[in-house]
Amino acid sequence: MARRRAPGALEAEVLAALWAADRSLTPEEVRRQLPGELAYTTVMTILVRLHEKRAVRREALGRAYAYAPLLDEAGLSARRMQALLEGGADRDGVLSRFVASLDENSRSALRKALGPEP
Amino acid sequence: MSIDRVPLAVWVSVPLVAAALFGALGPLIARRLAPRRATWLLSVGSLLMAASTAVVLMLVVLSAAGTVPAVAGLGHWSWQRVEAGQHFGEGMAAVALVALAAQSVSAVHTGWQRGQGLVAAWIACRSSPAQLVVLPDARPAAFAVPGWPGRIVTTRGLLENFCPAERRAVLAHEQAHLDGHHDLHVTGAVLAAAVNPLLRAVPGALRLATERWADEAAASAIGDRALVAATIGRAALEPERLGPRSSQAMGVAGSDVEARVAALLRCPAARRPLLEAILAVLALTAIGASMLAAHDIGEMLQAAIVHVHPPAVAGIP
Repeated sequence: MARRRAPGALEAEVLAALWAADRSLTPEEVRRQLPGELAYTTVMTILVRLHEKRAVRREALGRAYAYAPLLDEAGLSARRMQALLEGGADRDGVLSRFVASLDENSRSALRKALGPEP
Repeated sequence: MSIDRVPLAVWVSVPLVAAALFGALGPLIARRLAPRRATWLLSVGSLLMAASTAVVLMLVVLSAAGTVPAVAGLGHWSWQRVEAGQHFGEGMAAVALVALAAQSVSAVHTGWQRGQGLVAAWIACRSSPAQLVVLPDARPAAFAVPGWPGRIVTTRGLLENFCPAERRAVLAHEQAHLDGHHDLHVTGAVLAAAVNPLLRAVPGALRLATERWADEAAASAIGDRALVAATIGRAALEPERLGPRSSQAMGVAGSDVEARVAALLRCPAARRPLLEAILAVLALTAIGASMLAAHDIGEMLQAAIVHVHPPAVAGIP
C-alpha cells in the first residue's frame, strides 16, 4: 500500500507525466498516468496551479483543456543546468545523482543481483 | 584514580585516538545500520570528532604561547608560571600550530568549492517556475538541487523511458534528499574530513547512507522495495543503451549502486543499538576529553594570573 504523497511531490509527478507524453494531455489522461487512485479534482487543481506559475501551457480541446509543459523559463533553467553539468561543475559530486555510471564489473554484478528481466 | 589526577596528555591524545577509530569503524558500522540513523551518527559524529581534535590542538598552541611574555601579558599571566606549569614542548606546539593552519586552509578551500558548486546549481535552477527541471537529454539521470525551495532535476530520457511507478520512485527518492537536507549532512562530513584527515572515509560512507535513506523513502512512497531496486538498476544500466556514455566523473562509486540494490532486495535493516552506541560513545568520549583538557589548561592559566595592582583596602585611598 503506497503512502500519501508530500504536497510538492504531486506537482512534480504531474509535470513529469506531461513531459513523458508526446502530446498535450487532458486532466483525465494525466490522472490515469499517475500511480495510485487520485481524484480528478486533485489533478485539476495542480494543473491550474502549474498553469498560473507558467510551467505548463494549455489549449482548448472540446469542452476541456489539454496541458503540455511550457518551455520558456523552465527551458532556461534546463539549459543553464545542462551547461553547468557539461562544464564539469559536478566533478566533485556536490549534487546527489540518482545513480552513477558503472564499470563493466559492477554492471554484470548488478544484472545478477536483479535477476532475469521480467 | 580521581579524574583530576589523570595527566593532561591523556585528555589531549584521547580525541585523536577516538577520531582514528571513528574514521576506521564508522564507515563499516554505518553499512549495517538503518540509513537515517547512520546518516545522523556519521554527520554529527564526524563534526564532533573534528571539533574536539581542533580544540585539543588549539589548547596545545595556547598553552605554549602563554610562555611568550608578550602573549602572557595579554592574559595577565606570569609567563614564568605558565612555563612552570607547561606540559607541551616547543616542538609539539609548533606541530600543533602547523596542523591548525593546514586544517583551516583545507576547511576553507573545501567549503568554498562545495558552496560554489551548490550555489551555481541553485542559481541555474532558480528561474524554473515549477519544482521539476527537465533537461533535454536522452540519458536517464536525476539530481536533487538543494535550495529554498529545492529543485529536482531530471532528463527527458528518464521521463520518457520509465513507467509511472518508476518515475514516482525516482521523484520520491530525490524529494527525500531535499526533505532530509541530505546536502547539509554531507557538507558537515566533508568539512569534518577536510579538518581531520583521519575522517577521510566518512563522507563516502555518509553519501551511501543518504542514498539508502532516499531509497527507503521511495520504497515506502510506492510501497514496493523490489520495484525501487529495479528502477535503480535500470537507471544504472540504461544510459549505455540510450545514449553516448557521459564523460563526466560521477560522484558515487559503482559499488554503492550494488549495495543499494542489495539492501532493497533484503528486509529493512533492524535496529542495532550496540553498533549505534559504539559511534555515539566514541564521539562523546572525544568531545568530553577535549573539554577536560580545556579545563586543565584553563586552571593552569588561571593559577598563572598575576594581579599587577594589589586589591585596594577599604578606607585607604
